[in-house]
Amino acid sequence: MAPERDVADVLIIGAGASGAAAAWSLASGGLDVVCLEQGDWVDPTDYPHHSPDWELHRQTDFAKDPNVRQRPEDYPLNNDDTPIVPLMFNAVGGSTVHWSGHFPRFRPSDFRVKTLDDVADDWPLTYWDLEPYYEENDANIGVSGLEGDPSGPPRLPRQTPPLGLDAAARAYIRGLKKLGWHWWPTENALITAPFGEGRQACNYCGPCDMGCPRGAMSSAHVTYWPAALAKGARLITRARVREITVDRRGRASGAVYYTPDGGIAQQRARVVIVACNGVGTPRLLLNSVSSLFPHGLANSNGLVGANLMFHPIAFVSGVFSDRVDGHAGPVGLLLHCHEFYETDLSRGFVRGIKIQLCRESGPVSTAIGNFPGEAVPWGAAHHRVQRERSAHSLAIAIMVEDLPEAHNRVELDPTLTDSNGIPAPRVSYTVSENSRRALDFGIARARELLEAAGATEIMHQALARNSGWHLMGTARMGDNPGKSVIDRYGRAHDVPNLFIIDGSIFVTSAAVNPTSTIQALALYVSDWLKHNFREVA
Amino acid sequence: MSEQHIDGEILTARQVALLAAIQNRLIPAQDEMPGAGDAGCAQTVDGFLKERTALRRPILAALNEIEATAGAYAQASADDEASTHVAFLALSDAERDAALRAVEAAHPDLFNTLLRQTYTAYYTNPAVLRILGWRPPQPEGYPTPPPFDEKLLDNVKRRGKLWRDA
Repeated sequence: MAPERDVADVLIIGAGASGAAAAWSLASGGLDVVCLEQGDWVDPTDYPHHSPDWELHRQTDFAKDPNVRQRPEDYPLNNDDTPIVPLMFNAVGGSTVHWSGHFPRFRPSDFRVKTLDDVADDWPLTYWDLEPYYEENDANIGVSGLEGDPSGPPRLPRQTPPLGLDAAARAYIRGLKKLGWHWWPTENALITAPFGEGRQACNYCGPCDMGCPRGAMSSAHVTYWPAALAKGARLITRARVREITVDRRGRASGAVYYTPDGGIAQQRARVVIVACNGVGTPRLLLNSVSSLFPHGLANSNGLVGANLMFHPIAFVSGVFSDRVDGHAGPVGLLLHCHEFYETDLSRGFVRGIKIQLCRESGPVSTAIGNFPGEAVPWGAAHHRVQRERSAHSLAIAIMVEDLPEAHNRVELDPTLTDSNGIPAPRVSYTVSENSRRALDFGIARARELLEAAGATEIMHQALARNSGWHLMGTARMGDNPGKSVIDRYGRAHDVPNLFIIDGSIFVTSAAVNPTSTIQALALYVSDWLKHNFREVA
Repeated sequence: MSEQHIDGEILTARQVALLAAIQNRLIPAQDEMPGAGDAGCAQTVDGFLKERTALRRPILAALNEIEATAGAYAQASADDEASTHVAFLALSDAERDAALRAVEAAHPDLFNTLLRQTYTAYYTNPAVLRILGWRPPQPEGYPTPPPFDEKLLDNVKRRGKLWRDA
């Protein structure tokens, strides 16, 4: 039977990494899918990469912080009570429009931290449950890299080869060999050779963090969305959802949203999936108040918004006497070191760190000290120091596993709203003592590495404020309805036809970038939903 | 004033002149490189202020602090204040730098905002970028490096499995 057009089988809210993957999967399974997205398609001609003032756009319309960017589709955040600012992009493709594209998988131990290390909680699923979905996702979007990394389980050959061996890589490898540490070329959501339709391979231009005008980054708007639309999924852009509606039985019935002209519309659906990221999802659920759910949807235990995890990040920057051309090549992608990834309590903290060996960017980035956190001095020495650092610097990112703590949370701000009057999020977060010790350990290791690599000057930024790329934990997954928001299949304990699939469902954060795992989870949940749709709907 | 300045979109002619003089101390002329004020960065920053209202308060406050500090210096050195509308311009280069360092120490956030916007204006200036040899990232990109050599990983592979079963 043809679906009623006014009642979709599935409504997905949010067209980012997870929403796009789910839209493709569910539409491929024959379900009628509608997606509401508050942003729009990014016009490929809008990217600043062709313009002399391209670095200015990091501080304006392509800034990663929505409070700075202030596009009409952005919503404000109250960040007064957090040392790390949440970063995101609101558009078709979500934050995959402008990201580094580092695409590691979680390790098996990352799903078992309670059992192995007696901290936080185990996930209700394992690496091996997700493994087929990791592979499926990689095959769908195109991942560059090299299989065989001994710091994680085996995997199928990557879709395109690893990034090439440039001056930056050679400098790092020099240091890594001296120290005898683990290293491997990064896995990247970026193609280094032809893959997919309408996409060009990376040409090493550098600023992936402002988007990719070539379609080389395997972002959701160039991978999953064209495929999902071809399968019949419907995507409604510039549709800002105010609340998820429920029927008298307490089941999700759809969503009310604002149209671009400020009007109000409704989309009804048999199943609702929330995919708005670790800040946007709790915000929407907390804004979806009704007589049946007076404290917000799926929030009977008060855990919606709690346990916010970032990956606290420190940057350590090295200056080399020889050119390393840090601006030439994907800014965040090169090599990674997992020497210190698994727990070793003798280091003074539990769980581990990732050492991500990155590059640099253009002359503005160098001058303002984007990575080292220390600007080039002004005055008589300015030109000399700028010359010494420009094209001669590399930056290392230290990423640590952030453990869940209930007091780190997303709530609704009592006064701040977006342009439609919808209450905005307020973020409260502190860096834990364990994370601080892990960061300090990582900074010391990165300094050792840069020294071994031959850096002549080393600077560090102990905690990068603009580093809240990874938003996790605010609607956590679990078997115990008293301790989690959704079950092992992504279904809300309180609302049987409501699913959540973005980073908010993470139980723990691992010490690696989350998007590979977010998309694998979205495919896993979608697969379960396809097979159980009649029962759920 | 060494040259005529006109009102900007947000800044007055006097503020443009003050900002340009400050910028010529932040990034001074040297060899082939122009000073930031001479390169037109005051007008560029004025354009930033038009587009980004959040910058106006700190930039204007920084200018006020610097001018107030310069006024104190000018008085201390018994300069004739009436000879100029901008006290900062009456100072020697060394006095200008001392005034800037005093404001940097007393109001680091304001000063750093001014510095950051000056650096951004300077290093996005087409003439400056031409001298330095920078071009936009696209459409050329940068040369594709040689393929990765897997032999480099032999030592890493020899160490064997590094992950925990779970």
